[in-house]
Amino acid sequence: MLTDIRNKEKIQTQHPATGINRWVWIPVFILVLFIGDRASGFVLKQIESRSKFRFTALYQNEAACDILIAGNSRGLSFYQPFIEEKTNQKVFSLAYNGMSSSLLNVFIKDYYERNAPPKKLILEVTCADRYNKELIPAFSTYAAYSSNIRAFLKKEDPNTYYGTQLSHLLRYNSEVFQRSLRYLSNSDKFWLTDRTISEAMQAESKTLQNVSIDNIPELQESLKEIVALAQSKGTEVELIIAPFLPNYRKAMYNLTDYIIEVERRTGLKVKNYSSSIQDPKFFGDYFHINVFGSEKFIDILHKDGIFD
Amino acid sequence: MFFNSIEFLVFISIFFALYFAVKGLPRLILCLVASYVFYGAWDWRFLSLIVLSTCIDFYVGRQISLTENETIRKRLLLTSMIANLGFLAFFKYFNFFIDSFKGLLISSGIETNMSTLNIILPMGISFYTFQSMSYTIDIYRRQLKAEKDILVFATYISFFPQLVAGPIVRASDFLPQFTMDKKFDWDRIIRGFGQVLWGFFKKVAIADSLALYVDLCFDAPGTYGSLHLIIGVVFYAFQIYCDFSGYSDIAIGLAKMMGFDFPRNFRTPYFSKNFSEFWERWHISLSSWLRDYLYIPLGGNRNGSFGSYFFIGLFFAITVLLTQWWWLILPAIIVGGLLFWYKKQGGKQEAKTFTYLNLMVTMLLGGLWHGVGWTFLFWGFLHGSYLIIQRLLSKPFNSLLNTLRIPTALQNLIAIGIVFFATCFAWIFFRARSFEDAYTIINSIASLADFSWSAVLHKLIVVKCVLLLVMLIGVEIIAQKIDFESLLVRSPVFRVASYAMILWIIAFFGTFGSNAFIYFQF
Repeated sequence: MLTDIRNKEKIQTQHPATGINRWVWIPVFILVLFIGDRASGFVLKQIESRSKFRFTALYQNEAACDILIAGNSRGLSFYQPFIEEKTNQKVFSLAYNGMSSSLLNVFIKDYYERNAPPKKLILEVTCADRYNKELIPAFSTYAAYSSNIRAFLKKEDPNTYYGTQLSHLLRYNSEVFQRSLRYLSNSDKFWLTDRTISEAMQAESKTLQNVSIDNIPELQESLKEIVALAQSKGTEVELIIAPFLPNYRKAMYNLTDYIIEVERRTGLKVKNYSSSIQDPKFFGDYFHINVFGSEKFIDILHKDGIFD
Repeated sequence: MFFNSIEFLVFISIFFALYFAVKGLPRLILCLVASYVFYGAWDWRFLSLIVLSTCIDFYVGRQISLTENETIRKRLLLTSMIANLGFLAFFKYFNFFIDSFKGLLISSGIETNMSTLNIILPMGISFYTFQSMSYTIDIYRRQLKAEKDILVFATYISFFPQLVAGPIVRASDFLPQFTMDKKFDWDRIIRGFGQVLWGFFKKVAIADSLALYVDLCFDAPGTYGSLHLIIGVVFYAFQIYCDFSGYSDIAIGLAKMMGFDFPRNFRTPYFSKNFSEFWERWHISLSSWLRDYLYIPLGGNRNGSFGSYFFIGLFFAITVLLTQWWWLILPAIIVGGLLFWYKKQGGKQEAKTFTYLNLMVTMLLGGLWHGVGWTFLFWGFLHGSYLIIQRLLSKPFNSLLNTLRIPTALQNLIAIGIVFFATCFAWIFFRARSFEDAYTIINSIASLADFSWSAVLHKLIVVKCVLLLVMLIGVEIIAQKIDFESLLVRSPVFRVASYAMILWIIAFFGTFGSNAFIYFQF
């Protein structure tokens, strides 16, 4: 029966127009697919390497600084231009939206491997409250530069790790790469939201109750590793909690427990500024101060000697 | 097992290797086993439901074809309908009605400890139930001969490419194809593979990317500005289109590679110039099913039947009773009175009245078929209303456009715009979690609060999605002039280039994860 089918297939394997055996097109297709993937990947890498985005700067060895900022999106509250203006010191930020401390740990390691230790590390510690696994593949864009990222990807997201080995285009299918395109001509250190929280959100914030901040042991452990690494290199570490919208802060019932746990793990005191700004006009939403709020916040930190 | 999963890639590779290595009965058994494995991989317990449904309809079909006694034929058909709709009603609607009824009792001051059941909705039940029902109805109508081979019939019911989200293929189209010899056919493989890739592009690159933005919008509509929400609603319109038509493309493409021809399920619906055309282009297999097995039996656009009054009355009574929207009674009396007066004019007016009633019943049932909830029913009501309003106003509207001497191209553009706008409005109810959420979205959009680009969040996703939609619309416009399928077969260079291009785009723009197809839930 199989022979019968094969005989029938022989009749139609020649393409009627080209006369070329149709099976030939399969390896041709695979070859075109592979070459196109690698060529596109190479071009995109060249484009990405010209970006002024913070993580590109890290891997292009342009990140050396006196004060290193780290955290999730709340770490962006430490607006670099304000700090540089106040302190006359070079500031570099590794804060990113949704960044968990385990991922941050990878970038801190890479920072120390590529740069002289900064004088100070300011770490916004609420980055240990959630995993955000969705963000991990986004940083495969930088996997080519860093063995730490590759090892982390292989452990945390093997599908992405092997996928990006197979297709180089896949490495650039990420929000992080899109951001690097956005900052091809100007640095991202000047970005901070100027939006003011809407009336509707403010009204809704009054109804909030029992908001929790999660204590995740693995992420707390990553915080501890970050602190230990920085201290071993002679960097002074400041652990900070940036402001929350007052109504949101009021609804958080376990922030104190969270702080106690961070202090227990790291052996450092957490400086809690979660209620340091009260006026809602300084907030973009529940968790983020806007650029006006940041100016006020940096003033407070400066007066408290955090940058000294 | 989802089409967009590694497991399916392994499954389909093994399947095709075996499929072309065997013929005749072994191939049929392979199809059936593969279909059951595919479905069982999701939840093996529900295989029994498909098997039961298959056995009932196979038996009923055979018995109907064996007798000329009309009473017995009717009874047998009724048995099949009760069994199929009974399964559907139990698994899909039982909890919804119990919940609503409980709400009614509690609000009437009656204490109740009535509880809902922990029922899981079997994937694709709405699709295979309708497919199965069409078989017995067609035999009853003497439009189809009963299938003698239960293996063929079981494969027809459970055929894995279209089992869980259609298209709903009629037995009269599908069963005869089992008797044809299906050789390894290069041209079919090329066409089918192209369609499968295009389906993946729609699903993985477009629909899943749009979903990132849409989900945020509809999960907390109160927190966004009007422009953000407008983008969210338009994105949802394209998300559901790309998700569903993407699935259909994959299903039709896989079937084509296996040697089966399925009818098209979508024909660029957002290019429709009126609502009737929209339903001839959107989920064609469902709308034609509803037309042939519901709308026309109710009387269609010629006359009415007892069913026209019964269904509309039933819908109205259930809605008012369970939602306790007693205020609905007054507008219903007014509309009913107007319709009664219109019908009394006799002749064409009487026929039109029935047409309106039949359209509304069909669309309401269509809405309820899609999902369990009042928002889905309201979505059906809106589409029913659109079809009625179109019939009432299309002539004066077209005359107005002609009087204003608006060029035909612009008239078409206006018509497409109106249909798209109204469709998007209806999608708000389809996607919103509740009427309150839908109201929040509509209110926010209408107020134009925060109507600025700076108030739009996730701009990178928006830019990426717009780029993808431009690609989609561009290809769909070009496809009206060029037959891509023939070009794929004729030109190996075009074939290699287009296949590779689609895969590169998916790699670069795709959103990967465990996003199930939206229509699986229906």
